[in-house]
Amino acid sequence: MAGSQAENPLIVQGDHTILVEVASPRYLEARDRLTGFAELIKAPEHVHTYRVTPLSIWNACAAGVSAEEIVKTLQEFSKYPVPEHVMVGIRDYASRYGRLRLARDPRGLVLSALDEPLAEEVARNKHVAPFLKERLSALEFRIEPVARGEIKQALVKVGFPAEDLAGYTDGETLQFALQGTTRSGQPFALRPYQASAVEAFHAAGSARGGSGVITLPCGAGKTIVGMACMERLQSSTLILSTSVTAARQWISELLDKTTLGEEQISEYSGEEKSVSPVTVATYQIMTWRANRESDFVHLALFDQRNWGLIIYDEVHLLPAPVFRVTAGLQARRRLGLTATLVREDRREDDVFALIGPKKADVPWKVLENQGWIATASCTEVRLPLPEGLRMPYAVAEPRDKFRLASENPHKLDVVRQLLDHHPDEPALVIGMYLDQLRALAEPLSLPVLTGSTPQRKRDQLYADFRAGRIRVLAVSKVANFAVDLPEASVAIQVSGTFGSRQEEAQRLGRILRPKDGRNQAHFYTIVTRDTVEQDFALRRQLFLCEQGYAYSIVDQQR
Amino acid sequence: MQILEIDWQRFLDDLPLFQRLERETRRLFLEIAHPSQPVHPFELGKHFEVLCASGFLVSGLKGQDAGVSPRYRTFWRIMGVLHRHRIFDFPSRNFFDAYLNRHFTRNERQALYGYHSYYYAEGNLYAQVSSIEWLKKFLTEPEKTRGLQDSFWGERRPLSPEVLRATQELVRRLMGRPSPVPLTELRHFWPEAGSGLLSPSLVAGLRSLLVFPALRGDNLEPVLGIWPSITKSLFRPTSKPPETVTPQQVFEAPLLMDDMALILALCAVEPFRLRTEDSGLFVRAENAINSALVTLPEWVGSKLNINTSERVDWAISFLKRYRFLEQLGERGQDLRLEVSEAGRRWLGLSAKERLKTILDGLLEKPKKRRELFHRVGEADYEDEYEYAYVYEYDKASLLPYPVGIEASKQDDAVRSAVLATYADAAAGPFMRLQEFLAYHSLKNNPLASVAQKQPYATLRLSNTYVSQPTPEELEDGWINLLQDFLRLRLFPLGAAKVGVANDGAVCFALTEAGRYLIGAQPDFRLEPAPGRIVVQPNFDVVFLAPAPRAESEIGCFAERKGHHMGTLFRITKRSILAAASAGMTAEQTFETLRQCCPGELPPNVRREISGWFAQCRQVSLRTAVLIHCPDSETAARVQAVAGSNVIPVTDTILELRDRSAQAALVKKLREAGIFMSSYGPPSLDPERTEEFDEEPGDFDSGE
Repeated sequence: MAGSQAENPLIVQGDHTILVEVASPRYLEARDRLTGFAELIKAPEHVHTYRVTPLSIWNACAAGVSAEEIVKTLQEFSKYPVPEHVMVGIRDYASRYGRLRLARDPRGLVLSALDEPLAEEVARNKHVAPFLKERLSALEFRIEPVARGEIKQALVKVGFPAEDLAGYTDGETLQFALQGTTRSGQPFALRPYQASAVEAFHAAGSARGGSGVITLPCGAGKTIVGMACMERLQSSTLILSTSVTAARQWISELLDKTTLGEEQISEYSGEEKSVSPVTVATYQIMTWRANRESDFVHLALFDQRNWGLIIYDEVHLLPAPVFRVTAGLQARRRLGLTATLVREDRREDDVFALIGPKKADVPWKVLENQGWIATASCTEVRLPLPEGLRMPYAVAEPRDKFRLASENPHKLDVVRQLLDHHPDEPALVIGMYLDQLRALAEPLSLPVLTGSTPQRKRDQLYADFRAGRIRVLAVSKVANFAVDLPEASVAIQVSGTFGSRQEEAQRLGRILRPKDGRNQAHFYTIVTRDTVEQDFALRRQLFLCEQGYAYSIVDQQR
Repeated sequence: MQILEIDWQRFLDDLPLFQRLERETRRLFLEIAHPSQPVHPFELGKHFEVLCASGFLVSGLKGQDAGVSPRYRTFWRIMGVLHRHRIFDFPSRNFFDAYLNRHFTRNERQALYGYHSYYYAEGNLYAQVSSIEWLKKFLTEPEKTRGLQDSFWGERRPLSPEVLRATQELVRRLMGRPSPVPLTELRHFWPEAGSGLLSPSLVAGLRSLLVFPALRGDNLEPVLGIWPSITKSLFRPTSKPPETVTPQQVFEAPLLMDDMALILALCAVEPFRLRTEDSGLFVRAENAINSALVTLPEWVGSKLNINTSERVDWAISFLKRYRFLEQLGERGQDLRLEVSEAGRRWLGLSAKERLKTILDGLLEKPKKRRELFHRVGEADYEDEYEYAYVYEYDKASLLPYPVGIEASKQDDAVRSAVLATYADAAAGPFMRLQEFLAYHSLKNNPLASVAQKQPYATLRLSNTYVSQPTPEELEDGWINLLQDFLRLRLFPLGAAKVGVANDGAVCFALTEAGRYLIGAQPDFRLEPAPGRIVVQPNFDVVFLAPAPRAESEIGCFAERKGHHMGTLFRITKRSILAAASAGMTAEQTFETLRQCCPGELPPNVRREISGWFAQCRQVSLRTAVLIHCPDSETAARVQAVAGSNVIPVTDTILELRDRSAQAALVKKLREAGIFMSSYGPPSLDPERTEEFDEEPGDFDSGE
C-alpha cells in the first residue's frame, strides 16, 4: 500500500459500512465530509463505523451533496480501492433523488417526473398509483393535497423519493423573540451549532426549508433549537413531547427564554386541555382512545388552529397514529428533534417522508471537545453476591436470578461510597425495583421519585434538585426521558436491564449537560459479579463503548 | 489399420470446405451430425443452414432433418476420430493407447508390440514410439521398422522405394518443425509427395506410428505431426538458471498449521460427529470450519489450485496423522472426532513451536517393518504366506505422495533429491517457478534411477500410475513432484512464500522455516508480522490491513465476523470459553494480542477476558459405587466397619473406594447386622423387613 494511502482513514466495505481510523492524520477532515452522507453506527475508541444507506444518501442529496462528491470523498480518503458495487449503488440511489418533484401551480399539487419512463413506472406502481388523481401530461400528475404525505411515503418505499417543493401554509402569525437575558437573569444566546441547525432548517424561508429533522446529542439543547426555529417562523406552533414533565419543561423554557407570555402558551395533556398559539401536548394524549374501536379524539388538536409549525420532540418515538395524521399535514412546517434517528421499529423512512430529511447532525464528540456537553466516564462496579444468597441464586428461576442479583443488599455500601466520593456533586440513583430504591433511600435519607409519585410532587422534587436543596435523588425509570436536570453530574444505576439504545442514551443524557468547573460527568453501574446481571451489564458496556464513552470496571471486594 | 487407410488426396481436397466453417459449426458437424441418424435443425441452431449450404449435410425425406451427405461420410468419419484423439493437445500414454486401439486391429497391435510378453507389451511400444530413436531407426534402417515389415503385414502391403523415400522425407521435415503441420498446408510442405505418392506415403507413416493426425486447439485445426514428446526433446531450449524476480503481490502464511489449529479449536468446543457410511464430516461441521478458515487471496487459490475443501482435508489428515485428533466411537454409535491430549498440548504451544512440531514430524524417516502377507497358492486349498517389508511414516510423509503404489525405500532417495533441488532456492530471492522447474527438470532426476533399478515397477507420475515410463514421463513426473512439493508442502507449511510477477508468472522464495526444512539452517523464527490491527473497547478486532497470520492466531479465541479486512472478529465470552476448553490460557491470549496488535489493550477488554478465563473449571467424570444408608447412624456403623475403604458423601451416602474389597465388606457388614443389597437404597417397608426375618439364624449369633 502506498505511503499516502496508508495514512488515509477509511476502509469502505462491501456491505456499505465504512470503518474510520481515528488515529489517522486525516481523520477529522474525513469525518466532517462523511457525516454529510453516512450515518454513524458506532464510535468506540479507535475505529468508528459509518454506514451509507439509501436514506443517508437522500438526506445528503436534499442538502445539496451530489453522488460524485460522495464517491470522490470515499476515494480520496480510503486506504484501499472502494468496491465497485458500492460506488454503483451510491450513484444509483443518488440518481433517484430529485427525479420526482412535488410542486404547486395553478393546476394544484403536481407531481412531475424528469423523464417519461419514470413517469410510466410510477403510474403503474400499485403502491403509488392510487394517489395519482389525474394525468396532466406525459410527465405530470395531479395529486390531492390531502395525499401529499402518503404519496411521499409510497415513493420512498419504492425507492424514488420526491423532492417536496410545494411550500407551506403560513399559519397564524405569532410575534415574539428570544431573550438576550433569561427571566432567571442569565445571559442567553444561541450556540454556533444551534444557530447553524436553525439556518439549515429554515433555509432562508425557501421551499427547500421548513421541514426536516435536527439530530443533536442529549444535553446539546434541542429545545433551544426548537424555540429558535419558532422565532424564525413567527407563527403559532404545536409542540408534541414525550411526557407531561417534558411538556412542562418546554413551557418553562419558553417562558424563561422568550418574550412569550403565559397566556400565549398552554399545556394539552391528561391533566390540562387548553389550546393557545403555542400549545405543548404529549404523544400519550394524542394517541389516547377509550377503547380499541374508538377514535383518537385528541388528534383533532392538529386541526384546531392554523398551526404554522409542528415540532415533534424525540421524533424517534413518534407513535404510529401520529404518523398517520402527519401524513395529512404536509402543508404545515414540521420539525423533528432527536438524539438518534435510529428507530427500534425501523420506520426511519417514514420520518424522512413525513417529517422531512435530516437538516443538521452534530457528532457528540465535537460538542464534548468544545465543552458544550460534559465529558462522561462510565464505571462498572462489580461486587460479589453475599454468601447466604449464593444457593438461593443457584436454584432460582432465571427471572428470579436477575432480581436476586439486582437487589444485592451489599449495593447499599457501594452507593454510599460513591456518594462519599462525590460529596458536592448532585447525583441521581436510578433503579428499576421500587423495593430496592426504597431500601436504599431510607438509610441514605434520599427522596424517591417513582411512577406513582403525583405530578405535583415530582415537579417539586425536580425544582428542589435543580435549586440544590436536594443533592441526591432516587428515581425509577420515569426519569429516563426528557427530564431536564441540568445540574446532575453523577448517575448511579443500581439495577436495570439493557433497554433500547435510546433508553441507554437518554439515561446517560441526564448528566451530560455542561457543568461549571471540570465539566465532567460520571455514570456508575453497580453489578453483582458472576451473575446474569453481569451478562446484561456486558450489553450496556458494549453499547456505551460503541458510543465512544470510556468504560472501566472496578472490582469491589466485600 | 482401420479408418485412416483412405484416399488422403481426396481428404485434402475436401478440407478447404471444412476450413471455411466457423469453429462452432465445425464442432457441431463433428459432434452432433451423423450419417445414419438425421438431426433436427433445432439441435444445430443457426449452423444447420450453413452446414446444408456447404454440402456437408443433406435434408431428409421430410425436408427437415438432415444427415451427413454420403459424399462426405468418410471425411466426417476421419475428422471425427481426429477430434476424439487429440494427441497434440493431450499427449499422454493413455491417448496413445486409445489411438492404437481405435486404429489398429488386435493382430496389428500384436505385431507392433513385437516379441514381448503381453503384460509389458503396451508399455514398451509406447516407450519406443515416443522416443526419437524410433524415427531415427526408420530413417536409417527402415527395413527394421515394424510397421513396414512385410512379414507382419503380408504381401498385401509392399512398399515401393518411392513411397519409402517420400515417407522418410515427410518424417524428416516434420522433425524439423517445432509444431505439427496443418493438413491444409501438407501438399505445400511436402512437395515430394506428388499426387500419386501422397496417400500411400502418408498411410505408411500412419501405419508405422511414425506420424499422427489429430485436431488441435480451440479452432479444431487438423494437423499432422510426429509424437509430441519427440518434438519436445528436439526443440528443448537450453536450460539456464532461473533469474531473480520482484513479485507484485506476495503471500506467506503457514496455512496448514493455522487451519489445523482452527479446526482443533472448533473440535475442542464440540467434537465433530462423523457419518456412519463414510466417516466424513457432517455439513454443519464443514460449514463451521469453512467460515473459520483464514482467508486466502483469490490469486493464490487460482494460481496454486488450492480450494477450501482441499485445505480442510489436508488439515484433518495431518491432525489424524499426528494424533492430535482421534476417532472415537463405532459406526452407528457416536462416531466422532475428538481432540486428544496431544492435540491440546500442541494447541498450547507457541506458533513457532507448533510449526516446528509439524516440520520435525515430516523429517522423520519411515519405519520399516516386516509384515506377513497372504498369497493365494497354486492349488485352491493351499494358502501361502510370505514376508515383505512395509514402510510406514509415523507422522505424515515429507513427499506429498510415494513414488510407487505405496511407501518404499525408494522414497528416501527421492526425498533427498527433492530437498537438494530446493536447496538451490535457499538463498532467498524470488524466482519464477516454471523457470526453476525447467532448469531442474533434467538435473538429478531420482525417478530415472528408480525406474532403472526397478524396470517393471509401477510409479506414480503426474497423478497417474505408470509402468515402464518413458524418459519424458519420468521428466514430467519429476517436474510435477517438485511442483507438488511446493504446492502441498512448502507453501502450506509457511516454508515458502509465493508471489505473482508482473507478467502473471508464479514465483516463490523459501522462508526461514523452508530453509530449516531443507536443512539449510538449524532453527527458524516465526513471528506474526504485527499487522495494523486494533482491539476496540467494544471487543471488536479490526484489521486495517490484511494479516493472515494474525487472522489465524486471533481466530483461535475470537468469533469471526468478516474476512480479509475490516471488523474480522469479536471477542466474546463464548469464544473465550471455547479457547479455554481447547487448552488456551489467558496469558497466551494476551500474548497473541500483544504480538498482533500494537497499542494497548483496552482495560475493560483485558478485565473481561481475564474474568472469563477465571470462570473456567475442569471437572472429571467417573463412576462410583455408593452405599445408601437409611439414616446417619447406619452410615456411621458402616463407616466403622469399612474404615478408610469408604468416604462419606453425605450423612447417609458413602462411596466405596476399593471395589475389589466389596465382597469382603459385604461379609463384614453382615456380621455386624448390616445387610447390603445391590438394588437401590434399603426401604423401611415392613414386608421387606420380613425377608430378613425368614432366616433368623443368619443374624442371631447365638453367642
